[in-house]
Amino acid sequence: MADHEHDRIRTASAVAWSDVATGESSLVARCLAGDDDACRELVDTHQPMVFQLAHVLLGDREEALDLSQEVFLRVFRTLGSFRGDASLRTWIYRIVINQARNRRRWWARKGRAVQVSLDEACAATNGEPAAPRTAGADARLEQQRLADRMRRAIATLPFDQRTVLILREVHGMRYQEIAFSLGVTVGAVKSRLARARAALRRALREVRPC
Amino acid sequence: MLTCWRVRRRLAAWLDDELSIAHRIAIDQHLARCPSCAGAATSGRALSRAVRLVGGHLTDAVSVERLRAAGEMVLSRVAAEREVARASGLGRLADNPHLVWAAGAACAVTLACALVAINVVGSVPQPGSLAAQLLSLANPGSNENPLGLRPGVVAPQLSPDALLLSLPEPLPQPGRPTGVTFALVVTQEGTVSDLSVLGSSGPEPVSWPNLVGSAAESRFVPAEYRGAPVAVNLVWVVEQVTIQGIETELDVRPPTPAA
Repeated sequence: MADHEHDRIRTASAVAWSDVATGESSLVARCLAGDDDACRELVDTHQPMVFQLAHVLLGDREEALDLSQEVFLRVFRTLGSFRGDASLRTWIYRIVINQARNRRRWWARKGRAVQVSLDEACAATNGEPAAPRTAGADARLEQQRLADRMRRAIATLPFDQRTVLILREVHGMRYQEIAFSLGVTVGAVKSRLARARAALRRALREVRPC
Repeated sequence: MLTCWRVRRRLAAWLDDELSIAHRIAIDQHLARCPSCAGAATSGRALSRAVRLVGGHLTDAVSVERLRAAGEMVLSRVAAEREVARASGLGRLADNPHLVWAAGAACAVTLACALVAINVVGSVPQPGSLAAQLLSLANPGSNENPLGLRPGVVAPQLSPDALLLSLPEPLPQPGRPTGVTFALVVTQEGTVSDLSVLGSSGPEPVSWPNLVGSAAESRFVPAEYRGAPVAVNLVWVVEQVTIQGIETELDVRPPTPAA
């Protein structure tokens, strides 16, 4: 029951479709007018989420940092074309997804493995100094292991399924917002999400804790 | 009544809070009495929680610091691009002589229009011009647009040093008044303007110029409206009555001394 309540509260606080609000449009207008503070506000607001999404989509922290820079340069160069059809966040995510997809295609052409290994991340967490063996530390360690396992399982999913899963579960986006970000219908979002969850369950059975 | 098959089909949308209230209530009721579907729901929620853990563990302290640095780089790059775009825009303008001439001509025309506008606004309109009429209409109570004696207007009074009008000879018959009626404007300063004779009941027409002249030089205490002097239209009736005394005999006997 408590879990259900938690889910309900989380999704209710997600940005509604009608929140293409005056605040955002005024921020965009100030950015277009060359207001440095507004540009900084836009970056500070959206950069962590952009990095998270890029990291999951590319599976590599350095690439994600690089991609997040590219994304914001593109955002500022094309901000004049933002019409407010969706929230600014959704519009930026669309750019992230397109840039990530292009980068993976480029990797595929250059012969680089598209499925980037996340062993580095696992190694980094395993290499941390051992925490005191308390109940809280144990729980945190267990959570960390679960996150690593989950990350590796997600990395095995196809790009489209991984994208829709992360947008829904991590970023709390509605089906309609995901559809806009991916440029597909709501029905396609539902079906990709169902396939992604099923594939993730299968992958979790196969992926062992690192 | 929902079957388990139907509930399982909608379970993902239920978990994602994408169902209508009616469907959500129906599934809630089904889950309350179906352990199998409730287990599937619990499993779905656990999977969602686990996926959310991935997002939470990505932004550690190092990443946050590097993200901030990356953000600064983006902002400085955007500012530099903006400067370059502005400079190159001005440079392209200067490179093209046609645009320079066009810009110069536009500036000259703008300046000329501004000068003409300042001249028009600053000048006093000619009497009788449309501008003067509009100006007078905009200022009721001015000398050009006098008020009537409407409620709230304090009527003008003849000042103590006003000229006394003297009606011309011959004096009228006793008991029979002689009068002249003027139409005039008493200005904001108390002087008389636009004087005309509406009618008379006494003086000969030949004596009117003197009469009109002395009336025109009369001074009034100006009319007032809300404490400010205003010009008013006025009809002024001047009347002279000759009173003839009656001769009577007076008792001039000295008083009788007291006994």
